[in-house]
Amino acid sequence: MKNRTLVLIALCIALNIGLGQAASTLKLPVFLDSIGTVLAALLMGPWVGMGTGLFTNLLWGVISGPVAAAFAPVAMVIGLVAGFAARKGLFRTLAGAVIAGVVITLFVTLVATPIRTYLFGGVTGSGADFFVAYLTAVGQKLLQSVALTVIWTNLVDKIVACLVAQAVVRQLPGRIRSLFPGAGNVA
Amino acid sequence: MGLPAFPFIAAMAGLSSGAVLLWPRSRHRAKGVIFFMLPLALGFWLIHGGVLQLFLGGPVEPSRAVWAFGLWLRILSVISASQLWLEYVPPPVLIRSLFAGRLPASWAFLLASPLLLAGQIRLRAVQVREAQLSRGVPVHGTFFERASSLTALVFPLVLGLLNELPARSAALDMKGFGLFPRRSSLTGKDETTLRHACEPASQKFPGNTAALREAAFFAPGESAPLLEIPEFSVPPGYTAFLEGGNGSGKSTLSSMLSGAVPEHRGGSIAGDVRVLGEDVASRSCLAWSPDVQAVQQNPVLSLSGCTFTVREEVAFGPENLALPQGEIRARVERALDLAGIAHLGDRNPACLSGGEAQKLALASALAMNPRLLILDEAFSRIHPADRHSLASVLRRQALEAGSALVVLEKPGNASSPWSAPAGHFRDGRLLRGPSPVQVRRPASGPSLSCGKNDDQPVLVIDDLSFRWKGETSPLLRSVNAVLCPGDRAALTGPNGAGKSTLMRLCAGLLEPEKGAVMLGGVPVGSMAPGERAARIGFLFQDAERQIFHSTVAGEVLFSLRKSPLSQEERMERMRQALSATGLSGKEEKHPLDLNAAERRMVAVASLSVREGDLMLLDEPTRDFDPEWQTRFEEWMVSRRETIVAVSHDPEFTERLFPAVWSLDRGHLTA
Repeated sequence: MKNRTLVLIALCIALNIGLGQAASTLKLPVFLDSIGTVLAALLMGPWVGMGTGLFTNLLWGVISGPVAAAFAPVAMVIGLVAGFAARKGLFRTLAGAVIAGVVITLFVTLVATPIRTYLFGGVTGSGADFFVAYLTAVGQKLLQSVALTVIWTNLVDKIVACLVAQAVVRQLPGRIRSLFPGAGNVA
Repeated sequence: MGLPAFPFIAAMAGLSSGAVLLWPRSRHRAKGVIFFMLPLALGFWLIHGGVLQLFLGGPVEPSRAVWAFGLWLRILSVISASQLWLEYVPPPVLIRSLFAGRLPASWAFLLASPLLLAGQIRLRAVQVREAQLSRGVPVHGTFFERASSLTALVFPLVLGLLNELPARSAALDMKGFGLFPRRSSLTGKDETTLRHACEPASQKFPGNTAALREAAFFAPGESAPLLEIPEFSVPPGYTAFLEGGNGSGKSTLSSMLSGAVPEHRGGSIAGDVRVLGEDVASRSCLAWSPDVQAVQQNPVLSLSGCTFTVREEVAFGPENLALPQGEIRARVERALDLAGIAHLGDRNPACLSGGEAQKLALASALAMNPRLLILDEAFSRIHPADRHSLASVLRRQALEAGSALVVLEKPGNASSPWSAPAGHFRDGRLLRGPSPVQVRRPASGPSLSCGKNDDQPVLVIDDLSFRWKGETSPLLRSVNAVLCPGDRAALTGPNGAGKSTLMRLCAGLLEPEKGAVMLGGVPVGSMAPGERAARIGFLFQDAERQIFHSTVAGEVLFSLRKSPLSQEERMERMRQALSATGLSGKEEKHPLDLNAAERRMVAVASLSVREGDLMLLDEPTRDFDPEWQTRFEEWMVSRRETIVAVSHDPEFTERLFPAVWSLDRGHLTA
């Protein structure tokens, strides 16, 4: 792997960490911790996006503990899906970016739900637990309840991530854009 | 599920969580564990405890509550055990062992480098936030205001980082990272079998080290060359000193000679460019790294991020060359000595001042024993007194080792440590001899001082003391100063003396430990942020980092968004500000496509559209060549505000500042 790709991945991981922390300090209702992953996927394709997601969570694991590392597959899927969505031309328009956000959320749900349900009993320790508790109490299966919560908490965040990443790539000066083959997929 | 093993799980959880509490070193982590586990327990109770079922009349399963408790205990034991492990193996230890181990070095890089970058991002976020705060952007407030301030924070940050990506990746190539499949390590086993064939560096190259003939550089998609070099060469042991203004082609030449075209600098080379007798395009930037080192202006961009002391950082390059440990140690100590930073060997590279970091970047390049060393404004942040000794050390070293030195600097530096320039950049060409331009200097202009009139003082610094949190000795001790309307004071002093801190205290961005800063009789700390922003203009050291609009006009107009002026008046103000700062005609340009001087001027123009009482300029002239410097000086003397400016340029401060304050060891002397 070229050093340029390595540095880009490192930058995007740092962005995930930095923006994620900023969002929680500013008490925003979104995580913002996957903008770097989507950005890496847009600039260098799905596999680099996947690597960015994987190493972001591994690094979180090194800093804070194994919970983040357990969710590494989720972060990988975000990068992978964003990259393929870009190849399909979804990031050419604003509406496309929103759709990409929805698609990413769906795939995230597929991967995150079993991890949350079987590893953590569907519990996150956040306000979302009330929702899961209510759904299971009225007769929903635990798996379905968790899936619904995952969609509900991720949809806005992933759409915002896609829109920000798209806007950043569009605002890049041509000098930088020309270094990345994938940037052409974001008109 | 898990029921038979229940006592075992409970014992595990009790043991590991008890250990976190009992081990004094890990006790500070207990709070984190509790804050994670308690809400989790609440969630388990809500979801699996059958609480809602009682109210809603659903079926209650007691076995599920037991199962859930077992799962919670399991999570508790894993979390506690991991906290013990994290305390036992802190990140620096882990990263060192990753680099010394069998894992691919690129994995270790991805687990190490983002930590430094995240630190830089946090630092920059603080800078951008300060800059936006001093321009009156609300950082607290309603949800909408916080969300919009996030835009003003995120875009300059992300765009700025991506803009620096080529410089960062070129720096990593320059350290030889990934050149060989295996690297050696100072902390790991000494595997001398790794040693690759390396010629002794002292062997003189028979021809010219670098030779260019009829060479040109073309930007991507352009048919006219950006830079033409009719003829230029440096023999081994010699120093070639070349002058050029902002955007004249110095960095382009550096990229051409270090093999960074086209990988890090999009474009193409035409003509004959030979380094050590080889066509420069025959090797990649990475493959040139054992022979050619280019040191760029911003030292922060060249840190590897994989090391925790200055000594390790200097060793990083030689380690990548898979040299034996003894050789690496010798090279590191020699490089630290040459750069004059042997006393900083154990410091954290991320916590150095600008000048110290530039010396570290120089030492890292010297440790590679290059046969061609290119210094692209590599001394700009080093104190002038140190530049001369560094220059003579480097010249002597080049002569002894038979390596060649190419020095690229801005013209017009009267105290340049290098002898007469061998060439200069002019209108896209590298020509022989020193640059012929004579620069006119503006007169000092009217300046009043407190003795001569009865005006109330604008700025009063009254018995001001400041200490960083966690430091034992104060940075500033009982600082006193007074400035009247229209006064200009220069603030000088060695690197790290606290000049920027004093400026931030004057702007009300920091709280003093003792004493006060008064603006027109009112303590700046007690003013509302909006009022402070209207009365105090602050040009930060890295002012370009506040820029977040994609056009120059948008950026300048942003400063006026709260003013009561009409649309036409705003446009008129903007046009005046752009013409006063030499940016007329660049309204629609992308600020990131401008050169360093123009980008700084965008920030100056943003200050210029408003009129306040006090202007704080932190190293305002650092990026300017003589022409831009003149333009800036003309702008500055035309302002009516009281000005305090930090500067390392004695000629500039003596000519234009009636008062020169010097700050040393916490004391201010006028």
